[in-house]
Amino acid sequence: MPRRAMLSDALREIRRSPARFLSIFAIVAIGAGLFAGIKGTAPDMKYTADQYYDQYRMMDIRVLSTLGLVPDDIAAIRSVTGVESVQPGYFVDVTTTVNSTEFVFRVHSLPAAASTGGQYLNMPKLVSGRMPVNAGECVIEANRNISLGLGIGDTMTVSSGKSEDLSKTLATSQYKIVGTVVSPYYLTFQREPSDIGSGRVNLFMMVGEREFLYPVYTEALVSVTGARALNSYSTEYSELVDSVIGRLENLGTERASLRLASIKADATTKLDEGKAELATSEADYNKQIAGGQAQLSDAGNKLAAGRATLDSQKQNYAQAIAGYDTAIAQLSTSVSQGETQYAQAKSAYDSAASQLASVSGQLDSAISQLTQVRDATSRQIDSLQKQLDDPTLTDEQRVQVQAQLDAATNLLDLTNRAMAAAGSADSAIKTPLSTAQSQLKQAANQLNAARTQLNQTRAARNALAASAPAKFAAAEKELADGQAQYEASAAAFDAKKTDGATALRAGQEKIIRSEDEIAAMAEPTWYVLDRTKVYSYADYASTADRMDAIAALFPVFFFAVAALVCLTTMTRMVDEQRTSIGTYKALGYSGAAIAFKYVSYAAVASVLGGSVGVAVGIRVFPRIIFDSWAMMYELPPMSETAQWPLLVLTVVVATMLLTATSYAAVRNELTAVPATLMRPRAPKAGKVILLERFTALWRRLSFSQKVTMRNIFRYKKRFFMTVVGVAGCAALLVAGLGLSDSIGRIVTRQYGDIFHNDVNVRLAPTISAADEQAVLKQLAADPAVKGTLELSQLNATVKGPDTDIAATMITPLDERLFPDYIRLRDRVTQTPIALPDSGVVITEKLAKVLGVKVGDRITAEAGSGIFKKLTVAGITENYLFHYIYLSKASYLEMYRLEPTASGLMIQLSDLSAQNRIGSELIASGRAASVFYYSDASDKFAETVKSLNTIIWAMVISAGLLAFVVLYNLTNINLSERVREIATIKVLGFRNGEVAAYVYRESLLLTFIGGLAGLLVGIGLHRAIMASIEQDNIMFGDYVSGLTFLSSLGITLFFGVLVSLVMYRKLIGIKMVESLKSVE
Amino acid sequence: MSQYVEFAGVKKVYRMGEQDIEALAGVDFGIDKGQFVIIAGASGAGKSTLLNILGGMDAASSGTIQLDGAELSSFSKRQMVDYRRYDVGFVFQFYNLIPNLTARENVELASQVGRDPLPIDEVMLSVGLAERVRNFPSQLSGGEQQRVAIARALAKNPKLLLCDEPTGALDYNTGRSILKLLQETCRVRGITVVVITHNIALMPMGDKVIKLKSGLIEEIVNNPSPVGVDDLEW
Repeated sequence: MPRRAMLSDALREIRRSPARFLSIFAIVAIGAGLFAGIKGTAPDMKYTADQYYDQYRMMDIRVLSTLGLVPDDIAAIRSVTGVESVQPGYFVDVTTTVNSTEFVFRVHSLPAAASTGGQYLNMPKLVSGRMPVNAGECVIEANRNISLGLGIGDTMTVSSGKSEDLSKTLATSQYKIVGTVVSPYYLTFQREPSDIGSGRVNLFMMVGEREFLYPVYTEALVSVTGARALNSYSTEYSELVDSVIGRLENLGTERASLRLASIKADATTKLDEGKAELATSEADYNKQIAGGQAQLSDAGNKLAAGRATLDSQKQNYAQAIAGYDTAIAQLSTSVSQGETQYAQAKSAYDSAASQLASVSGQLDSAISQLTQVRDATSRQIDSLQKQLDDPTLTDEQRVQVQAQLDAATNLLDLTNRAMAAAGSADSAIKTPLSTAQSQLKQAANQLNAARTQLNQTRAARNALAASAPAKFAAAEKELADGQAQYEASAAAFDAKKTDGATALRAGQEKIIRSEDEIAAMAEPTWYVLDRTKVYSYADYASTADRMDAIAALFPVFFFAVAALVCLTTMTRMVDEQRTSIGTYKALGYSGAAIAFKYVSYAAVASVLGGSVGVAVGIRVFPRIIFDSWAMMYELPPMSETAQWPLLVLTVVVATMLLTATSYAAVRNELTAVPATLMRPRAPKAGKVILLERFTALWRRLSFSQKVTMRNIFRYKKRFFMTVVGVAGCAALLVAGLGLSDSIGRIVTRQYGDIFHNDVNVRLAPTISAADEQAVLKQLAADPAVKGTLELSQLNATVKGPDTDIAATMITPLDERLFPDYIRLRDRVTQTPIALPDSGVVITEKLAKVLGVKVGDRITAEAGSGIFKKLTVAGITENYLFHYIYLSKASYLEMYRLEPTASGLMIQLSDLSAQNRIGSELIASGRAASVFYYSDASDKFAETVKSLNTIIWAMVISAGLLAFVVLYNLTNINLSERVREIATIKVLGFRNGEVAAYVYRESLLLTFIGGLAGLLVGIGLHRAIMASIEQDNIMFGDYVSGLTFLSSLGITLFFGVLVSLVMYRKLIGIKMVESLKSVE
Repeated sequence: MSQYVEFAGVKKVYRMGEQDIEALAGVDFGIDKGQFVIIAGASGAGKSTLLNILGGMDAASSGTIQLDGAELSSFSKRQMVDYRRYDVGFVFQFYNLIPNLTARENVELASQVGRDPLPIDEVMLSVGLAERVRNFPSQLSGGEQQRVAIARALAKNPKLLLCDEPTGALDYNTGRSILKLLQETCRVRGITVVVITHNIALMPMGDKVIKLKSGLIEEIVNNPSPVGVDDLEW
């Protein structure tokens, strides 16, 4: 049997050249392992989930009605063909705040069977504790991503998250946690949108159905007969379920219209009542306002009169004081004049008196002389008389004495006269003096009178000046008190007026909403939803499908490289064995028989490599990938499903590919005649390469560079193998490392470039305008707060092509400040987008999901229940979540209502204060939740880390690929050029020079391949990003310069590593080889 | 005794499985500078081993080898490389040209590592290949290829030119012309040439003929008047 000889020759060949065999083996193993592994992941993922669904009896269909379901509806559903069981139930979203974080819980009802351990639909898996048995007990989700801060035994307080409380919904708002559960209904941590809280369900909890007070069921869970036996991701399953859905939808149309009329009538009546009530309170309000206004103006008038009186009194007082002052001035003048006059008179009098005194002295002495004379004369006369009377006297004597007497009498007479004259002179002198004296006295009297008058006047003025101000102050105070009182009552009146107006507006808005609600009732619908409408189910399925898409991408590439590696290896092998091929031919073996040796060599390599590859691949890759996805899902450990067809097919395809390739390699030689084959093959002729024609460039190359160029262009197959393989390595690296670039950057983009605020506060839904002002005031006074912007932020639902999409609708109340908080801009051109007066600006990913561009219309609802058509006026750069931005004008146009502040954006100057500010707001009861953007970016950074496994897997694959390809290339190069290398060693090349001579070529190829790989990597990265992107996140396709550099660097490193590994072999080549004859 | 090349008690032992094989069993000889030496012997006589050792491609197991005053047998690996690089030119039986390089480039390959290389064009002219410098080996005849190989060995300006069966792969006439070239090289340039051959007919052309047999020297013949190639027939 020639075949047996050939096969044993082939097997011996393997022993002889293990490196060659291993390179084919390895590349097939890598390719097949990756293909089977990645391709096998999606089925394993789906199988695992399906097992989980079946075990916990996940419903097949969920029926919702806009008006709820009544027992008649349930009975009707039960009677539909194909329905195995129906389980009516309730659900409602509530919020609870733990520390400063608000969580939205979806509360599901548990049927009675839950407390007795029976079977029912959508059973949760109990993680710890027990199921609720008594009233007021609940089980909550065991979620490893959210640290709730509540555990078994704690009591949680839930609230509606809306202005109405929960008293009509749930029996109590205090639930005791008795256990923790997970549910197949919630595989993802990303949840359905909610119209309360942050706009998304965070966690779920379950309570007994008796806890719900709804008059109607909110949902009905349906299982389909025979569906559990099928894989829920299979076509058979969806066909079976679809048939039942069709029947249920028909039923829904019948049932829903029956219930509409009565409900609508009820609602309209209630609305009319509400309207009447509003009208009454409006009239009442107007009356009260008018009364208050009148009272207030009376008080105002009185106050004005009092003020006028006081003013006139004050004026009088001023006048009186002025009069006094004038009088005092006049009096002072006259007093001072009188004083002058008096002084003059006095001095005149004094001088006169002194003159008189001297005259009077003289006169007195004269008089006293005269008196003496008179007295002497008188005594002489007397004596003479006596003499005369003396008879004895002679005549003569008598005559003599007579004569003497006469003379004396004359003298006396003269003296008397002189004395009389002196006396009259004396009195003449003294009379004017006494006149002057009396005049002087008079002047003094007058002066005194004037002085007295002045003093009196002064006293009067001072008395007035002292008493008046106190009187005035008292009057002022009285007036001020009156004013304050007036202002207080005016403020009170204004507040009352505003409150009343606010209440009225609220009432009006409520009416409008109710009208909207009634309008929304216009088309009652049953929603018959299959599992694909369960968010987590759909998300999980699409993840698995994306894995499949990637699975198609990589292995094709790996197989291409495997084929190239095989081709070059086999070509070299055939070349080496020309002589033995010739010998076989000469011995009479047929071409087919000879080819069999080489084909079987490749077949053995690929069957073994493929088998080892798939065996390892199917164990390793699904698990790695599943585990890294499992971080994003709540799943039981992976269960493997048998995938023999995939494994066998992979090995068969790999083997066929490689045997075909090796046949192609050997075919040429088979056509040659033995004689040609026995002769050494003419060495592949050197020839002038294209590059040499560019003389200028060629001359610049050093001698050894020329040699390298010639070699590279001489072996084109190897050139392509190496470039493709190395490019693949670099591309994988770019794609892998680029993952964290793109994903990691969105946080800095979103929370650094686009959102410029640090804290987002959702105000309590019941907050009053005054409380809101208080919050603003409190924040404005806080030194750590840089600025605050009031927003209307609503949880909106946008109609998507398949499902509804949750978005946040934001209307800033101050449009001038808005750009400081959120930058709207085009991602490509970076041009800012202004909020339009009409229409909305939506985020890029939302536009992409909806497939709309500027000018198109989207359908959205923002809490009112009514879907409105909105015109897209702009599309803005955004990475996380969906937003719809609109101006106040646009909001008013669309909703007929003024936007009200429901949230605040806060910029901080001191970021460390955020927790304090948040806790204060929560503690005050005015904020429902506080969202710290720094937390969000930290959390996202954690998620990015979970990608590391995948990145490592890609880097390792890349390394293996580069290693195998470069090893193969170098190995072929060495074995083919042994003589050449030995010769240059004999020529005296040093080890380093020999290595450079050989390696320059493979390193250059590595470099070229690396550069090409960077380009391919960009494409690969885009493809991967597009396939792993999630609904509400836009990753973009950013790859950093560092990634390109390190990808190229790592690729070159692999090149150098292979060179190092081969270095020993290179150096070990014996120079004696150069002496051997050509084979 | 201070000859240019001197072998003293040179032995080379290979270990083949369980037993040792003596390729050279103690060889003593000397060569003067500028001599044209023929080393002859049958297959397995130890010619190649001798050549390997003399060419610095292999080390002797024992004994000393002197070359121009240096002791080759005590050279380190590095010194061996330098020795091959600067002092020895090697001409192979199968030319061993690099197929991917032109004639001129093959010569350049050697001259670029030399310490004092000869001008390439001059060398090419001297081997009579000035016209064919731009041709690749595959475009040259065997004789032309061997001329390129000789040019490559000469371009380094070596002290010693070793030729391993230089005519072995050539036809008679071409072989003669190559031998003539080698002889002329020796005479004109004064380079010591050692030619290894199994062809006894060539012996008269050497200044000295060393005959080997079973790893030992059978005979050393000094030939004061060597014959020109043109006068030889075989």
